[in-house]
Amino acid sequence: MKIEKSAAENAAIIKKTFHNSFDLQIRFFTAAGAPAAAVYLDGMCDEMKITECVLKPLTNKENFSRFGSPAAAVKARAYKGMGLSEETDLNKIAAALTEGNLALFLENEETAFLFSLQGFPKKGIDTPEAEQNEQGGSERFADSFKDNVTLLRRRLKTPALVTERTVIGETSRTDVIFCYLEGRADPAMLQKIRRRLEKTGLDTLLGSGYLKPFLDGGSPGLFSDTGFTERPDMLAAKLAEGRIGIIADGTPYALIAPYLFIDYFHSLDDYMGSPAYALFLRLLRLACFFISAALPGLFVATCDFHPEVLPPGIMLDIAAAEAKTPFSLAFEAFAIHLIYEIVREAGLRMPVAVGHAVSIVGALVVGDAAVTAGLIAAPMLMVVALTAISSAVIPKLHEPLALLRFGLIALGGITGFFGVFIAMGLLLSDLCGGSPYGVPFSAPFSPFVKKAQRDALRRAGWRTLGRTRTTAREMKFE
Amino acid sequence: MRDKGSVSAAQFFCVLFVSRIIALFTFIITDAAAYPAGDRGIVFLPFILAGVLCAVPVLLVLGRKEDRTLFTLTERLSPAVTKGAALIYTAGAVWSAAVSAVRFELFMSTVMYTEAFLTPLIALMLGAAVLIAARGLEPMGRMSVGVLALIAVSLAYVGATTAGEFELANLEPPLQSGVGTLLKEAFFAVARTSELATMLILAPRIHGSVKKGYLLWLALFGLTISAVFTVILGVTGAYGERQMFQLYSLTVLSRIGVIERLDSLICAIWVLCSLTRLAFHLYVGALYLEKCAPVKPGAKAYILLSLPVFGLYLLFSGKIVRFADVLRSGANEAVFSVLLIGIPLAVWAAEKIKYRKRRAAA
Repeated sequence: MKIEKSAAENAAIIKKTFHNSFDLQIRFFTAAGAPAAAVYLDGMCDEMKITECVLKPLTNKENFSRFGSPAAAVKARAYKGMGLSEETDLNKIAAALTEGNLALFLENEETAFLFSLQGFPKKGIDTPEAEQNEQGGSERFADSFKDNVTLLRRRLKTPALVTERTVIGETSRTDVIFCYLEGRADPAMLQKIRRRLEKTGLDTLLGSGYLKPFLDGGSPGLFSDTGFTERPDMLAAKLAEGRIGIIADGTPYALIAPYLFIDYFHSLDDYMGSPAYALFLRLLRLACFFISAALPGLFVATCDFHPEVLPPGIMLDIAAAEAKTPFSLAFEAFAIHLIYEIVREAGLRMPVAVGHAVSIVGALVVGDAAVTAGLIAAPMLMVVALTAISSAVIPKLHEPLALLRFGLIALGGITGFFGVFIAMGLLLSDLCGGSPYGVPFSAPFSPFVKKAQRDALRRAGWRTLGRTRTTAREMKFE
Repeated sequence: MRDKGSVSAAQFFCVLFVSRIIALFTFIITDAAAYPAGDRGIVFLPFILAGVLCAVPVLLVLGRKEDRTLFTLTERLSPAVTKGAALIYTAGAVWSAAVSAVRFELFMSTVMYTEAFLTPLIALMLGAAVLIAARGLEPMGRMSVGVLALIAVSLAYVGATTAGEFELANLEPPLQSGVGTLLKEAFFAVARTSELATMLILAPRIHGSVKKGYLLWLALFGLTISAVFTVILGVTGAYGERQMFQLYSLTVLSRIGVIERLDSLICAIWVLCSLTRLAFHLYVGALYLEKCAPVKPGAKAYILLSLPVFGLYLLFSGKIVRFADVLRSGANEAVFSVLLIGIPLAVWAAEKIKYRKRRAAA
């Protein structure tokens, strides 16, 4: 819709567009000698900036006629330290208001001025919560995408760091930033991501997680080949490997694409200590993955179908403990894991103080009372505890592991090892199946990429790793 | 970027290795009847020779550039020949898959779930195979690399933990039945490798030299057979010779300290190999099916093919005598001879004759 010549009329149209919302502020005044209307959304603009950058310079007693026209006077006198642009389309002006701009309509002018005066309240930079590190940095991403880009720029001080802005969401109009290192990120990969995000068709985008399904490729599997991080240093490290970061406004997490299976087992601490310890930690995390996924299922299958696998002494102890409980092993395993998931979910959703209480009650009820009452056997409880602790080692995989665990318990209880192994085969096929941007999810192991072994399971020392790093594009299969 | 229907030569031969080695793992007494124990340690030599000779027709069809399939030639002959050949190869893939399922059931019902009703489990396995096939050849190749690594670890574990019981005296001298028997055995060993026929349709999708890969595969597979049988016979001797599943009988003996009887866990490699084999046959079967019926390779085609596989499996399920009769009758070898030697040779010759006639007429 084209702008009208009357400032008041333009203000009225904007007011109508916003359905007389109470936070839409309209100020009529004389700017640079001409009647004018300033329109902005209360709370989205900084009042101080409005006064100092717009009102004061344009309403003083200066002779504005020497500039030739009020519009020229505005351009000359408005504070130079802020963003100033011109717009003629009222719809675009309305959209700009929602982003914290102030629109200035001048009488008899066919363009409006947009002042970038954002000043909405936002949370500051916090310490990481979900990705704790011993020796890494202590900053996490914030909700504002601009802060997040700054956090990234502070870690990669190079003009090669490219940030591209796009808007997704018909209604939410959320700013989404792609970031990558020019020369390291694969242009074809970038193009694919751009195209996928353009086609999302989302109406509202309230978190970067909304974008994950659009970035994940291939058939739906248990594991996502789009990673996420709350740490700017982690994103910087991944960008250095040629990955692409996606930051959505309002989310303190950045997405990383492509994300490989082995990436789930890497942590920033691996790069701070010795390579030997890093290898040990990565093997430990892989073992925890296996324990967390398969231990309950294998335990149920072993006790129900294949007791010969366990040494006789241990088997007899387990049998004696299980004989006192009324339920089948599979039911016990299923029930305790369900209770564990309930306690976990409650602990996550409740206020922190109450969350601790929930954990204590859960531990007491499940751990002590259930065993004392003879409802659950102690060996099973030990298996569940070990499983739960192991899954906490790789928190990013909690979602697929929880589903996998329940599936394996059911299969182990019904079919024994046979069903568990079939599920393992499917899991292996799932791990090997994804390659959303040409980089197989199972790389660099299958297909084997020799160069990438420097930082896959083992990590080479910094003398080697510092010189060259393998980028994602080098793991593409052609 | 390569699509999911193509695969590197290394990964393709990994699939073939995994798919083939399950026949070694489920090697049963019926197969062993004409297979003297003493010859097994040196069987890799004639195996390689027989493998090379048997692959000649396939290599002739593929051409020097290895960019042709059997159907490139049949289409030059006539559409009817294409459809006929495709139908035979589809049936061959179904047959091989079904035989694998029956062998596997026989193994499971003997060692893991004695006298259990395994049909639902085989159905579950077929369902999983459909899912794996639907992911494509490339992911299957990657998966088989993982399975191969597991096989290597398991065999190394079994070998290392039973090495102390290896007795040279358990090994029988080779060639007791003469060279002729050894060569015949080698041919039968290759003849059970129905997967070789898959090169006839997959060759253009394989990146790298098929010929070199095949030779390497033959050598490695032959050596694996010989090594595994040498260890089995060296450790178990006459006892192992009388066992139905000889490799399994060796795994039962493996132990470290108080940890013993891990054979049920090691059975994971049997399951994974069978799964890969079934998925591979379904995948290739669908490619053949496309040539003779309006069904595109995909989940629907794999489900469609899994039905006759399951049907054939049901025919032999639990009927070991009937199944043994079929194996003894040489049905497998006959299928192999037709698929790997007969049809490729006939098609290649017919196409050559037609080409020469056309050139003479021009």
